[in-house]
Amino acid sequence: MEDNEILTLFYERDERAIEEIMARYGPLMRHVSYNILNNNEDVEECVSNACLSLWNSLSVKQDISLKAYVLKTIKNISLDRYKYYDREKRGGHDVPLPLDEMDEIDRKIDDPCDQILLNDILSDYIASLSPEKKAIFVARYWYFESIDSIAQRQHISRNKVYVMLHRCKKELKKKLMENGFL
Amino acid sequence: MKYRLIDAINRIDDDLLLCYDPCPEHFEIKPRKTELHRIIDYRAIILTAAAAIIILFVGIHIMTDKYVVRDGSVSETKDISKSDVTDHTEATSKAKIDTDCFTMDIKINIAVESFKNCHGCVLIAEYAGSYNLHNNKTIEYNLKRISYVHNPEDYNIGSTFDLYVSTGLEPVFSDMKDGDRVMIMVKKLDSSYDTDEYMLNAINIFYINEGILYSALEIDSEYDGLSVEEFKMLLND
Repeated sequence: MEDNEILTLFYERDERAIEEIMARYGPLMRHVSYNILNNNEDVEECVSNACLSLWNSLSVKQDISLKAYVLKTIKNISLDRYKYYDREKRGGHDVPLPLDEMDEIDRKIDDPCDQILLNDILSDYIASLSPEKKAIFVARYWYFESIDSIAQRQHISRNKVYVMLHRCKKELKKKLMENGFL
Repeated sequence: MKYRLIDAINRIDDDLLLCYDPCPEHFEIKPRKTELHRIIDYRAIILTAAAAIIILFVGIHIMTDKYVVRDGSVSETKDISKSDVTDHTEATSKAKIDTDCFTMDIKINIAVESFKNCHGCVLIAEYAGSYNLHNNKTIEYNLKRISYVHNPEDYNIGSTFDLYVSTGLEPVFSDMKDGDRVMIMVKKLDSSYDTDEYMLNAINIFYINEGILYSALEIDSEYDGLSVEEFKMLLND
């Protein structure tokens, strides 16, 4: 079933929407969630929560990309779960998020205007990258893919992935410095 | 909550987000590799490499029809069939004893595999026995041949080792240090006075760690656990 048909089911409050979304995006949701949580039980719970969230939020007609919406929903729910574990130190989640690699250029920002500016700078920067670099950057820092997985997917060596990510971070750091974020 | 770069990455535009699309074969959940998994992986690689080397050795063994031993003292070539070499750690020798001047011209046939990766090893061929001279006197002898394996390729099938009385060991061992390996050939297996043919057996390889010799092969040895100093004294006795 196509995305627009699934969306229609949601808008019509047809419960088949959940079955269809699981059939179409279930594996992808699990994949994204597992990259963050690394635990099958937590993944299943987050996927269930994501379905409930989609059911509740897709009641009104919206102009959205269903796939991106689903991805963001499952990622946010999984990140919340990760933060919960991280905060409570409940163990079992000792795999650091790839975003920890960004620590050197990460700063806390208070001003909402600066937050919007940071969003724009980041989006502009990613958009300016070559298709290959863009895919690798997004795969690593949005999808939290492992280096091995990216190398396999892009048919390049692990070393090349490391080098490309390192260069991306260097360029991003320069951009952030130019804009006074560092 | 403070806004951070990670939050900004989380909010990138949909079209940027969708520029990467994990293909279906990547959807299945695979356990992430832990350190233990990596170690197991490395072990698998090492075991595979070891198996490949063993297969290579066996292949060479099968492809080699016979080992040729040159007995320089009589300038003749003798063939030893493969069945004479029971495994790759075995060495065989043929001795021709010249009783007039009592020099031994020992020809040792060593399977070439034994010496691969033995660069820097100390090779000790220990050879003890007795010999009845023509005047019915018996000479007891304890001969050792000690040398460094500078180039393993020199110790090929049919390599010649001249055994001599065990003297002058000290210079050979003066540089022994941790990480060195010592290859020892000991124990006369069989001898035939009629043909003056002798066999040496049981190459054992020891490595030295913190000044102690440890057998690298699972062969019981009196040298196992000896300090280098004790080992030197034993050989000099």
